[in-house]
Amino acid sequence: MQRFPCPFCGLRDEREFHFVGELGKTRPDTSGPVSDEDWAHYLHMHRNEKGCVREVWMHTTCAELFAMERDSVTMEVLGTTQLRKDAS
Amino acid sequence: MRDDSQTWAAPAPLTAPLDLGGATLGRVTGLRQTLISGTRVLSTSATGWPAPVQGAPYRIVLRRDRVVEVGGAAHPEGWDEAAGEARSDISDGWTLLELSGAGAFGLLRRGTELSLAEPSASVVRKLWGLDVWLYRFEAEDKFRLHIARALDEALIGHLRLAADLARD
Amino acid sequence: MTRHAGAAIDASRKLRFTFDGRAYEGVAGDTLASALLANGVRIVGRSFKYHRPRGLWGAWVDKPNAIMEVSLKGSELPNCLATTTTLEDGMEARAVNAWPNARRDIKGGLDLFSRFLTAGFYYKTFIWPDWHLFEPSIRKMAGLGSVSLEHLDDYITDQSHDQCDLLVIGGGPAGLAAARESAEAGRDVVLVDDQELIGGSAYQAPDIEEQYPEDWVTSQRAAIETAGGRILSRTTAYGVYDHQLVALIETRAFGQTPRLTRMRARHALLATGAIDRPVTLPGNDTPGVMSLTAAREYFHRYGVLAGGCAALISNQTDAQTALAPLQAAGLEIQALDPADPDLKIAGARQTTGVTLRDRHIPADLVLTSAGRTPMVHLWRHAGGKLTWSDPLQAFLPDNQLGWMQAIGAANGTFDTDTTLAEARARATGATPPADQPEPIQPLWPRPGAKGRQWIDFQHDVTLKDVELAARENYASVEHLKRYTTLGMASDQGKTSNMAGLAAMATLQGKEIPQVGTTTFRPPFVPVPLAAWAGQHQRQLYHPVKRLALEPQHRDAQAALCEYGGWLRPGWYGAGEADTRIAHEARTARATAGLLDGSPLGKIEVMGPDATAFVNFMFYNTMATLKPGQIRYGFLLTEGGIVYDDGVVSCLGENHFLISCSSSHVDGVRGMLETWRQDGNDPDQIFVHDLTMHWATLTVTGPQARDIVETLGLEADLSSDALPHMRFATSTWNETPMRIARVSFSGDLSFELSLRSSMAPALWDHLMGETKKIGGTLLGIEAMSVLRAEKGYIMVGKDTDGETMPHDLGFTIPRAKKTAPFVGDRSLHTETANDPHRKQLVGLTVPDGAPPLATGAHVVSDAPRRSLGYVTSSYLSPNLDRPVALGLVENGAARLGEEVTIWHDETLSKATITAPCAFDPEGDRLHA
Repeated sequence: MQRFPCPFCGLRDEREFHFVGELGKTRPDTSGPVSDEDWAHYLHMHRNEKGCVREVWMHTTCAELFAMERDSVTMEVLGTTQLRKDAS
Repeated sequence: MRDDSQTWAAPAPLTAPLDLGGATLGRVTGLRQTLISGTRVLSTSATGWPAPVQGAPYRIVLRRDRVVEVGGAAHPEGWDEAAGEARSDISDGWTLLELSGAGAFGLLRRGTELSLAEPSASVVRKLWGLDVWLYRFEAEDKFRLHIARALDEALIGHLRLAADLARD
Repeated sequence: MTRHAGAAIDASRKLRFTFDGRAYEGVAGDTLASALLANGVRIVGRSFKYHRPRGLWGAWVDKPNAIMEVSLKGSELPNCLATTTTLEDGMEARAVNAWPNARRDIKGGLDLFSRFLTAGFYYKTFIWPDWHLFEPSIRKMAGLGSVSLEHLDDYITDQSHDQCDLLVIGGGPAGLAAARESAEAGRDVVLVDDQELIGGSAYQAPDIEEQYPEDWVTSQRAAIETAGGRILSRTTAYGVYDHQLVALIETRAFGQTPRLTRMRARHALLATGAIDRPVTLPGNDTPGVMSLTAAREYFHRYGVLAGGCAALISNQTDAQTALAPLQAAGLEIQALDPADPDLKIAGARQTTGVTLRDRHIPADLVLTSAGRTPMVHLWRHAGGKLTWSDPLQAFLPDNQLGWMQAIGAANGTFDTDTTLAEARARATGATPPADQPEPIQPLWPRPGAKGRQWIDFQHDVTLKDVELAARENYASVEHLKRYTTLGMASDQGKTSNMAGLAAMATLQGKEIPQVGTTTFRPPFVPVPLAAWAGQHQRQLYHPVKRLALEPQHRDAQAALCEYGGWLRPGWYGAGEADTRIAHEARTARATAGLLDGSPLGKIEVMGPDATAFVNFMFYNTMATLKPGQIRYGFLLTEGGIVYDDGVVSCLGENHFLISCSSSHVDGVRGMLETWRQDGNDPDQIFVHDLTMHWATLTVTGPQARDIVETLGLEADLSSDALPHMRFATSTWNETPMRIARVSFSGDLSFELSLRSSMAPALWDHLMGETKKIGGTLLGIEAMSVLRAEKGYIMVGKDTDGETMPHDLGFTIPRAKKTAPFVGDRSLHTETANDPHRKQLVGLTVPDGAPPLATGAHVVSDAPRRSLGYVTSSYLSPNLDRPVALGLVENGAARLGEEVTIWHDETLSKATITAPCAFDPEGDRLHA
């Protein structure tokens, strides 16, 4: 049972989390033309590195999306980055 | 298309407090619960974990932009542009339980990894996989739990079983 | 047999038990094994493959062969290890894998065929004429214990979570010293030991720090507990998992479930000890061959001398000193040179001693040890690395993990004084004094030697099998394991791994550390699956969601079924389900029907960006919805696949209600919460899931309006004021209510929503009025028929993992909607444009034919291949004939075509029609 640090709630049981996707994937702007290659890359291609990976996760209980760096081999959590703006 | 009426026991609503041997489980009724979302909701006093909350009404923190007000008056519902808040009455959607006694914390940590030494800004947890709002109320050994009404049978079932198993 | 004093036993309390049908007597504190040994029982089981008689090698978890079925007071458990099963009065034990008993197993004859049953034999033999002829008999002979078919009703494991600052694993001298030192320094310490009587190897010493071992252990315990430390006995740390989680299992009385604790430890000290390695020489599996340390344990803990006259074959330098107390108690010991290549252990069902060339040395016990192997399993689970120690001829933890260190025998420290100093140093974070271990003479298997020499005692793997594996190039240590099954039995190679990899090293001309070890995986000892199931069984396995009106439905004799995670009425009333369902479907169209639709999703989206957001989430244009309007729409995945359908109501400016399908509420909410933060500004969009707070009751049928009128609402319910796909708000009994004209039945239909606590009152009223006009309560099954008559889809039933909205006939947004939406680009790929895509159609059958089977395929004639399949199929009571929906290639262009249906090896005919079979003009819908 791993534990992940939600930027708002703190360290929590892994069962409260859901993997969303790789960090850094930008949705192509579909208000204009998008090539088949670009759209296929967005849908299906993943870096999937061995070692340090940068991912977007959701803490499902508070529904917050955040970025987490992990080692995909040792399972060590290397760091998290808050994606939400702080409350004004 | 299989009749499962007998597989699932008819729900037995908690009308009187339940003695779980070292802890007591009861239901708290009659308190309004209002969901309030907005970027400035945390500027009002609202509790997380594990500091106990007192009195009524009080507010518990679900997210950086969401609280639930418990025991307050009715609020106008919907999007309030001036206040920058979205409000919804959810009183009938969540059952409010109270678990107290020396054995209470031991029962709760059968449902998830939980520590009184690790503070958290929010009260949202998963106990036995069920989404709950868990916080201390008034005393060190008194806890309140909000659970979706449709799953309150399941949570009470888990707590009762935990108490039985802890007793052996 | 006389009992000597034993630290764990109370010889005054006698316990009766049976083994293989014979009655014996043991004492309190015995294990099954020590009691059997005390009674002179030498053969405790049979090996897995050759059914060779086996005796007791070890005294605790390092016992490969004493596996028994044990029953006591109605509880019967298979595969109990005799050495770790505490004896209780009345126990009945049977050796597994032996019939009629361990002494006289008839399958012992299999040993004669051993030439044909070498490693990997099933890849090479029993193939002709057909492997399947032999398979059943071979499977029957394989395996160990058999499972009783009696269900243990209360066998539910208590699972808990815990945390500590320092977890000390192992309560021997090292663990006790470390736990005391750190507890007295004020740390939050938990000490776990897997025995009832903690102390580990302490009892084998004549004294510790000038105290008797029992007294020394007791004073450490007391000091630890006084300082606030916790001691958990009978608790095994069976695995280390990510993020410093150590899994603990506490054994309780026989037949009681164990207790599982997931312990999060900031630091850990591994004091798990070491076990003896067997010596590999001919006859080394004969009953009477025992681990040197085990003989000491049996004597010091249980007061049992394992024999009268022992031959000692060991490279341990302190062996003679260690055995001195046993000698004093009457055991004759003759030490032999362990390196002599001509040593053979003699005897068949019981050892008669050792032969050395032409000499025979009589003995009824052969004590062997080729050195001690530290128990590094948990270290390896944690990802720690091993270093090879030449002096000790063993793998040791490299102590570079940070949060975990090894102490004592687990770290290769065997001297008591050095162990205590090391333990106390580590407990306070200091560096322990460097240890100069006394080197031992390497004693490893000699490939090429004559005679059967055993490596894995449970799976019957011999040295020759390792040689075979090397010859056939299964030389890597992981291949060696799988090809020979060495180390794969329930003891997971505790007594066999080292000899096996050492033999392979010699065969390959490599050093042992070059060969390496196989991967260590949890659990360290067998753990019942119930331990991990915990509370998740029966009603708590996947709890259904309950309706607020469940008591009312039960009163109305509803057949409650699981639909989309909810327990809902499938139909009402006693009698045949099909008859009841047909009646409900007919009556609902004739007069009216009342359905509890409360599980329907009610997710509100509000905020300054709500309109743009909802428009982005849905396939259909929602930005043009005005307050009071309702629109049907689809939520797609980014791949363009239909994820959910539902209706969106505009409650006001920047305020929408998404009514998604009941089974998808959690998924839709998750989608909305994710997209709200991904590429949008979540400070401007708020998602409130109010599904549980609101109840929704549906009144449908030609007389639905009459029924709803009886509520006396202020709202104008006429078809002009409230047409289809519009809603109004009102109050009823001072409760706000929403009245929406949405229809799943295809008839005039009102969905009434109000807070759940008022649902019983509303239900009672509506039920009364419905019954008065001759209407019916409506269950999910009947509603499913009604919507199928209209060609209305159920997502996930009439759509699959490839269905896009244009396959269902909803083509306009794909062509016309310019604002981006989820899945938009995917609707214009080559696949999306394929003219042969499967499309939603209706299917009819010839007169008198029965309904099509759901899942039956529409097939082309030559070559026969599937063109699609039947997704929904019912006998329609309103049309008096079967109706069906399906997904068929290019179906929309094939209306009127006759097609072939294939199901269960039978062919039949059907005709493709439009999906809607009833009231295609929609007059009833717009009434």
